[in-house]
Amino acid sequence: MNLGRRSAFFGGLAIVCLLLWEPTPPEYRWVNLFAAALALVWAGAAALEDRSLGRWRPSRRRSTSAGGPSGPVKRA
Amino acid sequence: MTLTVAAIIFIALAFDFFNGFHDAANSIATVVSTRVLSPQQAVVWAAFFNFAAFLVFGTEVAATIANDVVDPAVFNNAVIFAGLIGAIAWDIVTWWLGLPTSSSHALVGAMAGAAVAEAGWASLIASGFQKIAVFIVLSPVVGLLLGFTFMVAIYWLFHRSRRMERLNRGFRIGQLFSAASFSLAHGANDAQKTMGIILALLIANGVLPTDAEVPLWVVLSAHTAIALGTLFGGWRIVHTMGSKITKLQPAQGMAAETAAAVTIMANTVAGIPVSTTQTITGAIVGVGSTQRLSAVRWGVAGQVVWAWVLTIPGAFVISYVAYLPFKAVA
Repeated sequence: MNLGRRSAFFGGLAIVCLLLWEPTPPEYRWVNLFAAALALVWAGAAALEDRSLGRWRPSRRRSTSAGGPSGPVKRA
Repeated sequence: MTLTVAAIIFIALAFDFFNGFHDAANSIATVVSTRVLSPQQAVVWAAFFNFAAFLVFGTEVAATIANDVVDPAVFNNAVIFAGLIGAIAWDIVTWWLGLPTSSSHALVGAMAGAAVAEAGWASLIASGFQKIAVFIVLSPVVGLLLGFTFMVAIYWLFHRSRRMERLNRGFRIGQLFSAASFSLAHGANDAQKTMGIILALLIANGVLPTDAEVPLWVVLSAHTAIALGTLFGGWRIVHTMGSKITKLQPAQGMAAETAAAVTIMANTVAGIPVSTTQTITGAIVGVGSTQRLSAVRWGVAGQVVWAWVLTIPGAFVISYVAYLPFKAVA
């Protein structure tokens, strides 16, 4: 799977938050969990967006070659 | 209260003034860069809310600085004086270089340096340092994630709107409130650090008992000093924060300030001294990342990160050296 830059960035942030779990005082560990969960949500969303854009691009290229999104260009 | 104590309180308030001069500019960077307020209007707006923060927040951060970083028994006039000199010197050097470093971490590093020079490494409280060190990283990360989340929420809510002019006007008004919230949060967290130092000084000199709360005159003088510092603000840093990290629109400025304000307020209530500079930088990067990662000028952001990494050791060394003459005399 080709991971996009933005999903890798948010995935990295989630890892940083989880790595800080041990040194974080127990009463504040919910902050690590909250931040890691939020980062994972955005990593997943970014990955989905990349995937959907990846599907969309080839079809746009096909339609462009056929005369644009509205269909083939009619020749006079 | 002796003349020496009064003089050190004056220096502590001078540090608070420099904190305003150096850090509080962050409160106005986004509101100036989006042209919602002129620099002069923004400075007055931020200074007012820096001062008003004492009406909203307690003194938990002050208690952390006074009791949880350095063993309170180690505090004496010379340690506090050398610590303040180290923090102010670091702030001036980084201000001169145009680096938005953290006055908060400079103060923590400087107090630690003077305390270690006085009584060795055992004078430091590991759990207090651990808490501060963890949130050096966590607070900008949370600011970044909230900034990104708020910006995406704004896109989702308003992407169908065709009245762009009206929408932008709404965001500009919203940014007045978000800038006020951020200044409130900044005033609360940063002024309390100075309150903590003055509290430690008063306890060390027997002016207050060891379990004393922060007196009202200390609260008011600390907020006045930081508000005055903001009024005389540091425009070099405004420039770095407002335009070099990423270009901002009113909606983005509002999202960044709100994210940073929420993060700092939560830390203030929990009694954690955090860097307002780091948090707003994280939030600006988060908001910029909604465009694309390349919209963030990572070179400048990286320069800022290096300044953060160097702040605690740099201030530590300066105050350690500043304390040595006192030790030689003693």
